[in-house]
Amino acid sequence: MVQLDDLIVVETVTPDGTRVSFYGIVDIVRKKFEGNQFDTDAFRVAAGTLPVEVSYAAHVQVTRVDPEIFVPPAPGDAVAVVRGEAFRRALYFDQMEHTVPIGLTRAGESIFANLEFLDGTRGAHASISGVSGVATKTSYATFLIYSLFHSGALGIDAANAKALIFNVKGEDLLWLDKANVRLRPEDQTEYEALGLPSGPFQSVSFFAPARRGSSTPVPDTGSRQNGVNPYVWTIREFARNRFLRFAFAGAHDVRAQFHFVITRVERELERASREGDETEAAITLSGTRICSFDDLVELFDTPALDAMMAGAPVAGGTLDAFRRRLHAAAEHMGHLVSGDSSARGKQIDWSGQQVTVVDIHTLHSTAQMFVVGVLLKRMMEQKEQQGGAKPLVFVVLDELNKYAPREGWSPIRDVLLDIAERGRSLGVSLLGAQQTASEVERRIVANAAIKVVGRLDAAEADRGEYGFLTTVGRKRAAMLQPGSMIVSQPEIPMAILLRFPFPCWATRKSEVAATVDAHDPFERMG
Amino acid sequence: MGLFGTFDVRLDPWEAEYSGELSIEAGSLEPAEEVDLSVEQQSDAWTPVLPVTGHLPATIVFIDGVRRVEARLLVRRDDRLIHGVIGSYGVGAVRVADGRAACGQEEIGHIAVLGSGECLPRPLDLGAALTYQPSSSPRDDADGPPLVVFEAMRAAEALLARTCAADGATLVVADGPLTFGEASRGQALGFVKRFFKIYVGNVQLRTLANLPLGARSPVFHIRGGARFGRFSWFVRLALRLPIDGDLTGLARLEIADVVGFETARALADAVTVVLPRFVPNRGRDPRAPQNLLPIGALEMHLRHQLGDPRVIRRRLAELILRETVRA
Repeated sequence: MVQLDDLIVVETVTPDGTRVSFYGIVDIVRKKFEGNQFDTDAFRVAAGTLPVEVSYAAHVQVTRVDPEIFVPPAPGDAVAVVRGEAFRRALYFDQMEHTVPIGLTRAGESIFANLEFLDGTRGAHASISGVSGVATKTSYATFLIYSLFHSGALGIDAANAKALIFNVKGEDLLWLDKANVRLRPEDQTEYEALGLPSGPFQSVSFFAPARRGSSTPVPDTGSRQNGVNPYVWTIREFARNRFLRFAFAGAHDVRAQFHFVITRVERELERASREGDETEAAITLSGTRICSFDDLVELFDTPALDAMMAGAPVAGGTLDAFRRRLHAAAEHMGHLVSGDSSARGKQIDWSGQQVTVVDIHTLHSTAQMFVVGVLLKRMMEQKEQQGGAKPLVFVVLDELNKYAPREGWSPIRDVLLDIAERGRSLGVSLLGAQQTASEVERRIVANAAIKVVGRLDAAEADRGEYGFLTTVGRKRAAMLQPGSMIVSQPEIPMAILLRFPFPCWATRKSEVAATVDAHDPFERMG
Repeated sequence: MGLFGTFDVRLDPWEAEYSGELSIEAGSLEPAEEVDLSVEQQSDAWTPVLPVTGHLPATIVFIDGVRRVEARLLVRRDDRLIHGVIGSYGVGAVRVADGRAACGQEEIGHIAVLGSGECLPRPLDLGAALTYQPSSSPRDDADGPPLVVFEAMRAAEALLARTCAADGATLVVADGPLTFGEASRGQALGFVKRFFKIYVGNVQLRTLANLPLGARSPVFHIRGGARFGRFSWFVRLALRLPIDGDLTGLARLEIADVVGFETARALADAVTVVLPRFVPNRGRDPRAPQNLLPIGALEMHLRHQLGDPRVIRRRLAELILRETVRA
């Protein structure tokens, strides 16, 4: 019996003898009585006094006509549900040179994406939308990364390809390197069906912000300490790389003069970072030794800031605003910039492992912006210097509507926009997630080749950003269960509903196999 | 030699419906009958019978048929004008058992009838599942051939009713007056919706007019005529509205008298209790309440299976054109 989401094929023969196959996907099914005239006839049928027929009809959305002869199939042509090779043809998988498994249909058939639309060859970026908590956006993004790295899709590029994952909620992603003990045999079968091994991520490093007030940097995490590296920047790194602007990421109502002040101060800082002992963490600015972010804030409270403007016509009010905002920012992100020598070499290094998880979930929004902005900017600079698209970098970032809002200004938005627009040629692919794509910068959403939705809010689902969903698709998106997503990709004219297997990596401590001894005395040294 | 042999067949340009479907009821054509009204109660003291419960067989089968004249033919042979029609009929059964009603046992027939005792030499093939078998009417007026279509339907109904009644555990309710009375193992009732013949006198009419819902008249006996003897009674299926005539909401049932009076009375009680369940409301069916739900649904089902008359007419027109050009 035909079900919703089944893929079907109809073959018809044209008058000249050509066989044309129509592939399609069932998007509406309905049953009704035939032979009844009124709604109340249902009672008569139930009472056994009125004979009727029950009709069961399925509406099919065409996905492919092969060969492309656009004649309609003839009424009465036989319809068959497709499996295996015909299923792959129905969704154009036979035309994709490099495929990545991205999930399964409910019937258990593998769904693929064309790698060329993720690695920048013909397109890049994925946009995942859905309600927090039920849409399993992060889980799906992580699954995509797992599939990219473990399916063999990337070929020899896999060795150098990197993924940068920002952990914005909970500590779910801090266990990627451990196998999930709750994985059932049937889950393993699903991974096998997708051609994927089932196990933890092979190569992961974890970074968590350094704990506030600690003399030597230790990671500020709850459930896991071992194997997690603390991150902190030295004042010198902060100054040399012009990171100051990212401390103001939370400010929404900034005017042109404000930018000018930031740029001026950044230049002074950069100049200062080139002076003195370059291996030292601290710097000297305007004759004052800066050993911590607070030192910097204090210095700018003095007329030294006015002096830095070097006679440029900056209103006093603007400088005051700068000071006020810097104070506010320092409170939240000041501890991530340190002048202590122990902070040296503690910035995030993603070159070591395939997957780098950066935990920012404990940080205040201002500090989160700072970390994301700093990392992405540095990554883009590095890629520019390297030139060329390889090695590939995949960036997973949730809450994109915060970092790249459609309304208002954010320094990170510029970086993200840069990734969205130039990332393809630089080999940077953004797997962005957000509750509402309608609140994310339009060009970022528009540049995503792969569009994914989990459970959507019903009002959100009606917005233009989800034009790839049919009317029925929008309604179904409002009732998707965790683990089910609707995925649209450029080569398939219809968004496909799929589910992805239960994570084969641990997502919490209780899912970690007991054989991994948390008290291993040597682990800390690793 | 053409398809039509020596006949010159042409199509009457008027759609068959315009000439009016004949209102043919077999009862109206029957010779005089003898009626005994005092079988159950004295004829001058009829009172309504209100059965409390009735015992019915587990399966009730409703039998009905539909017919249709699809086109009228004007046929010439030498200088003679012969009337003809092509028509279709369908008969079927609704089996009510285990709280479910289901259509089945449909039989569809297509016939091409010529009047004046003439007959086409071979069947008319109008496409898949549309072969009209030749048939003939002795009458030479235009009303003769349609009657043959009607009679063919009645014959098919009788055959089906007899087949269904052969199973002893089934009660057959056939639409219209009973046309077969030979002893069969099961029981068959004739369900008469319209009264061309009342059978009762003015005294009894008063009782009928005041029959309450779910009550029946006393059983009476009809004898003679062209048919076998039957026991018969009236049942009230629905309440009368102030605008309705005396006989509105009544149906007459009949059963062959070979079953004996006691069986007839027991069945009369049973169907009086059961039949109102099958009554449609007036909004659903303009022929309510007599046109019972299963019968109405079966008619719709059968009509649908007869095919679209417009398609049939066009195919016939093409066929006639081909033959005319060839001649």
